[in-house]
Amino acid sequence: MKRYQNPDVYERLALEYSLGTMHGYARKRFERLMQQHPFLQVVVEEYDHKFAELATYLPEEKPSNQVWKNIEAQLDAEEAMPHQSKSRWWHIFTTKSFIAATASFVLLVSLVFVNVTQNLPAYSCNLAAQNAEIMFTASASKENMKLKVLPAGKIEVPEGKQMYFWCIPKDTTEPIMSLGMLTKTGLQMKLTPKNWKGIEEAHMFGISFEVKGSKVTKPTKGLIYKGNVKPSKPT
Amino acid sequence: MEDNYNELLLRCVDKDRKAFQELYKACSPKLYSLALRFLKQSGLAEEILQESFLKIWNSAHLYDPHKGKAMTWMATITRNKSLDKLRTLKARPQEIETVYEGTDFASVELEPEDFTAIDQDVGGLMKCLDELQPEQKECILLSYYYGHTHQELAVKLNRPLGTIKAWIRRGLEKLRVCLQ
Repeated sequence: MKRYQNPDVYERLALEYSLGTMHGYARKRFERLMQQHPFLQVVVEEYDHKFAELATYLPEEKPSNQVWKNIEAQLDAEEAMPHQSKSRWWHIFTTKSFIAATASFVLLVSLVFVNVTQNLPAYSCNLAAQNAEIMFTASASKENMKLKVLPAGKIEVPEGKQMYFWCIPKDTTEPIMSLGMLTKTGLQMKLTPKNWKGIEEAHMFGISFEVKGSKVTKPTKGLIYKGNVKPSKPT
Repeated sequence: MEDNYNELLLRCVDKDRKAFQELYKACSPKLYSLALRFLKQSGLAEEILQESFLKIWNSAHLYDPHKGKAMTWMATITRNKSLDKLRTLKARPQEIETVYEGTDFASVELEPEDFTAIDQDVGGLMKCLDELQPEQKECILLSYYYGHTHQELAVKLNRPLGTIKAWIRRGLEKLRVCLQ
């Protein structure tokens, strides 16, 4: 497995996977590896994104009107029957095969990963307005290279504004790093190696309100919610 | 134009159906064209387009404009769905409707007026692709746009399989270094 931690090897494989030149068994094996090693997934996503730009060169072709009608019908159906679809989905939890599969999975994960993940760093942060209650909790873990931000109170966002999540470095000469946008339900995102480095060197996380859809490189009118970043156990 | 796509996609996070319809109207021709090159048949390509837009609607909250443009995010979804579909089919569908071949549309020299409107990142990628041997570039673009396997490329370009593999391997290595 160490060979997949060599950038010369994994970058080449990620490039082959992204471009579609990796096929058959090799492709399936790489997909399994991606599930085991989140950093492979991150590199693939970066290449995916880079090469997706090639789609801008394609000549346009108009699909039939039926496609949009089908999409609308599907959305209408989902809106009309949220409870039914949920109950069908939850039904799988009662099947024997699901219970058996879950038990096997938990056993496998605990056997294989517990020793590996024990030493991986993680960070957490409670974000609040000045002298106010905690409004968001944030956690970042190297184990799965994910950032999770969850609301802890009722969030009011002004009309036409959107919440942006920021990583404030300890070194004040370093730029503030954006970690994306939040909805009222929070944020879950995969972290790139660059994001992780920023979090490791962060002093604080913060949330600002910015004009919806605007491209800003730092908070324009200060942080509404903020909190200090602390080392924690992996989530 | 691209800023407009970003804004429409962000409005989809708030379940704005009107914004979603505008986004579909603006972006579906490119994404359909992408799916059509993989799947060769309008019915299959439309099925993928429909699945892709439903995923775009349900996953709009995962889009981060700081990481890239809306169109590239949506193109990645469509291409991955096309590749998945291609793999579930036992054989590539016969080219019974329109025969899609070649990558002339991706030639910067042929479409300079289009290129001026394209992002600098694409210019950087195309510059790296232009530094490859023509046959290396052709194999890579055919793989990207059509999902061809090495074997399919060998038949299409009438070259031995080993030659195709060597072109792709060397081409990707040069591309990796250039993109870094």
